[in-house]
Amino acid sequence: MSFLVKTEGTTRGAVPGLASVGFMRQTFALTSVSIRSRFRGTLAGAFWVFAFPLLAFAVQIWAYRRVLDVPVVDYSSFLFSALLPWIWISQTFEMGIASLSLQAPFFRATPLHPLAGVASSVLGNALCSSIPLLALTLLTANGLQEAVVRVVLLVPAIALLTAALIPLLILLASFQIFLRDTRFVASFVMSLLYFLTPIFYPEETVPEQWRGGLDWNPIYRLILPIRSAIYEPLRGDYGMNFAIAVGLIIVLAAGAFPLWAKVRKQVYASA
Amino acid sequence: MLPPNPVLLKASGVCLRYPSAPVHGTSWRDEFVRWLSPGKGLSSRQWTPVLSELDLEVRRGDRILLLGANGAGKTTLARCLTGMIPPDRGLIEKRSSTAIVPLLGPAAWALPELTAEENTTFLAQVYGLSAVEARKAAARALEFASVMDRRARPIREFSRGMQAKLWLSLILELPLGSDSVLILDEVSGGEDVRFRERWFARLDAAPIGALVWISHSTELLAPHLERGWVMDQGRIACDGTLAEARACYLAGGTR
Repeated sequence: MSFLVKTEGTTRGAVPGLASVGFMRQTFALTSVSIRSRFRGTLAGAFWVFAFPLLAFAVQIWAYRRVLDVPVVDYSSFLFSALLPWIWISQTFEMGIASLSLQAPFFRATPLHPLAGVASSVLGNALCSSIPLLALTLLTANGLQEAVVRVVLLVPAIALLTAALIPLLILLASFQIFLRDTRFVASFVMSLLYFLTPIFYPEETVPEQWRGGLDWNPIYRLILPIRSAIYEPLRGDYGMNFAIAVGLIIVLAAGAFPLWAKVRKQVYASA
Repeated sequence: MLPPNPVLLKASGVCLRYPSAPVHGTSWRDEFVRWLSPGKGLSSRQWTPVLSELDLEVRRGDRILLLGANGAGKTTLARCLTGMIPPDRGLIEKRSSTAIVPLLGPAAWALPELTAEENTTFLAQVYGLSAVEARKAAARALEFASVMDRRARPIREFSRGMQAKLWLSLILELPLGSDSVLILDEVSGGEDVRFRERWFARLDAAPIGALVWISHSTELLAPHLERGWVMDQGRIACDGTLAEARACYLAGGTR
């Protein structure tokens, strides 16, 4: 009689269930229905989703350039290249941190993998955020050559940020399971980090003795490949920023998947 | 004498503990306060044993009712058997051709603001159907549940009974094979009697390999099931006919 070992004890350190058949299919299907829900099935709903980051950019470009007069060349490219990824990350946290708790009744009852909800939050936001980002990148380019260089560098940087947000969101969503205010704490920390991250001001304006602290700002490290793809793409720091972000993803994944393996039971603990 | 039917699913020596209070319901603020409180420190995990050296076998043709007191570990066992939670110790094996198909609990939907059709289609995709197959299965389920005319309404507007009908209808639209094991856990919830009779007639005729049904409604399910298990102290305490299992359960779960 041929048997296939389905589940064995001692799964410590592994990522139980992640490789189960259909995980990617479930994730894509959930992303598709989530986006439909977000767009309310209408063009106006889609416009709302894409217009929100552009409106935030329009208000901030007016405030920082006209009111504060920040001394940066090509300030609009400088600002949106970090602001839009920031909004993307914030929205992913806002919508995804509670996904394990909110979708619990559904995945406790069906074979939906809990991490499919987390992954679909990341993919949905990546799709909704990268479209306005690509549009502004093309619109603000100086000629065809710069547009091509920007897009060639930007696409891998978008993929990189998407890949980074998966372990980051797994970490935060796992904390949310047993520390129920993680979502609010994350939102508070993000609002503080916004002012401590060189999004609307250049890194050079940070006093030199504090500038080293930026290396420890993970959100900034993840945004930098996108900024260096869009803003002065030929300056040559894209490769270094990309490599540092890849290293950060490895560190995040090394923390996120073992934590998930530990809290997986907790997700199913309530009836 | 006929040889016994082949084993489709088997558990050996399965043990599982759940983390319990005070982990639940704490917050960063609570942890911060505890950390600053003299002699308390961060809250630690406590563990509750749920499954304890549990053994079972499900064979082709089995129609099993799983009984047990509230909190006996029936739902946890179902989640373990479906692979949702890996056991701490022990082994769960299934035949390579066996699909474990769970529906554990009353109707719940991934995105209640979406329509009945969209939610049902997505539910079918969760069970592994392609987008095209899922749409067809959802259409058949909407028809069988007699809610086709409301397919474009948000599922959250459906009554509890209508949701239950759709939930139950879909499970029988999945391509369940003769080696599949269907695991149901308190799935009914307010569906009308006429629907229930039609649904049970389809279930009885469905070409499924085995059925494990967790429920307290023994009278309702008795005509459709043959065997009974009683869970107690984290293991199968009784295994026999439905009448034997019921008597065992009423006697307190001992053999």
